[in-house]
Amino acid sequence: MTAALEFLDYGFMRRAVVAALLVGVSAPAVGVFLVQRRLALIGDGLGHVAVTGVGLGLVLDRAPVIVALVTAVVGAVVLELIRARRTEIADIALAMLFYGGIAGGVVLVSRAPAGGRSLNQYLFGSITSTTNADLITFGVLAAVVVAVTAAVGPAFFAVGDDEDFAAVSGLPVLALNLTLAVFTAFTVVIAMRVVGVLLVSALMVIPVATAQLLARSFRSTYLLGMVLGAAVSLSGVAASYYADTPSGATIVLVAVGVFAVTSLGVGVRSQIG
Amino acid sequence: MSPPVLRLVDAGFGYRSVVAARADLRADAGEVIALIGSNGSGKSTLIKGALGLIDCYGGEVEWFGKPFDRLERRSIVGYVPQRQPATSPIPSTVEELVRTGRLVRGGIPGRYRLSDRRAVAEAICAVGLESEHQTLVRELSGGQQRRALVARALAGQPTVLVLDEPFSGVDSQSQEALTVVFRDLADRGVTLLIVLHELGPLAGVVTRVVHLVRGVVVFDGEPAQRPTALAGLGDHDPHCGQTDKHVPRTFGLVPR
Repeated sequence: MTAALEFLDYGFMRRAVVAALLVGVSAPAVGVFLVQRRLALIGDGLGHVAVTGVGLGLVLDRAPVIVALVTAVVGAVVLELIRARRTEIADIALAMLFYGGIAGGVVLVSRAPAGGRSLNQYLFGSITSTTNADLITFGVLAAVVVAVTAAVGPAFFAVGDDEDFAAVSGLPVLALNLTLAVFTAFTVVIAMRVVGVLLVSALMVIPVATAQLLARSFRSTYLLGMVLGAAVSLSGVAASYYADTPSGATIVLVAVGVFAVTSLGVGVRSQIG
Repeated sequence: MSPPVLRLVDAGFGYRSVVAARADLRADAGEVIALIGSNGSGKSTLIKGALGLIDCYGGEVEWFGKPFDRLERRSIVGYVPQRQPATSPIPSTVEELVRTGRLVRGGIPGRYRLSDRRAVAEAICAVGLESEHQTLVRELSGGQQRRALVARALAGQPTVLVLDEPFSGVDSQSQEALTVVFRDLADRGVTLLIVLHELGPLAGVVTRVVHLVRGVVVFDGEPAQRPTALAGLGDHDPHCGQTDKHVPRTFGLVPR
């Protein structure tokens, strides 16, 4: 193995690379529909809710990832039902759900046998501690996310583009929005171990934001977003190994860097052209 | 005898227990009906209510003799909502937009069959955007975007087309282009229900005018029979700012 790929000699780094790849592909696959709906930070909110699940899992000494998944899915459904009512209190209700979620998680973790130390790996990510069991969970979730967004993508797009038209034409708007919310929860839980709940939205939004600068259709934005997501995740993991920096934050900085360079390039090209 | 395209009997529609429009209305196949009124007259409310987009407070609503949500093929009713030009941060092409009007026919998830491609291509051609089918919607002019929305509704091959202020924010040249499209649809027997401020370029296409003032129908008949006091009112509603005792503003009702 070449020196550049030396980090793959270690089992924990090979697992980290697979986890990064799964997150890098699945997060933008969901994120493109969230950005279209101007709900880019919804993943951030669901991450907060997932913290309560982590806390509950640690207190009960059950798999925190699975409990976080269940909690995030419940939170996603409640969130979508609140949003669907389009009331003035929806914004406040969402804030209650999000901040209640993270506060609940902090309190629960403080009662866990391991104490608050274990919370950090969920807040900021701990990709190198990914286990084989985690990889199986992530792999199944990522496969389902990509398969469903590819198959149902045109319907998600239709509802995101014009909810009234979609409703009149007979599309099941609420069911589609609930499905997207649940898949956002899936993605949040997958990304939680890679970049941490505080940076979850970054992988859903930044590769998509970069892709829309280059793409000439919704479909190409969707596909390019996944390619860029995988590329920045893999580069970020490798960079974090050699620079000895936290992997989640490094992945996000690489994504921001790629966005900045692409924006600059597109800007220069439009000035010249 | 086939049922009317749309039948409203004392149908009230509104928001949060406030009835903003209540009307009796019948639309038959092949008619081109203009729903006219000033801002806040309830014409868009009436349309949205009939399509089930807002709460219904009593009365009867039937499309082709059935409640809207029980129609076997919903795409029989095409809808072009009033909306701002494309503002989504994600780019989408005219073809991608128009294709959404065809989705419900193929099911979810569904295949994009040859017949769907043909229907989408025909809809794009019908509004004269064939050379822009791969253009981003956000790069079109306001009038072209409106034509793309009409194409989206046509992709479902409707027999009735409901348009909410299709000329809003559209320059006169694009209004003329849209009028040609509407005239062609009317000639092909498509029933048109169009919300407008004034007849404008559609004066020669519309077969019936329904004029609303503050939520109630004050005139329903042929354009030529419309009283001069109503014709040309546009935004200048003489009832604006006055109390109209005939307007049923009802509070505390439970949506049906």
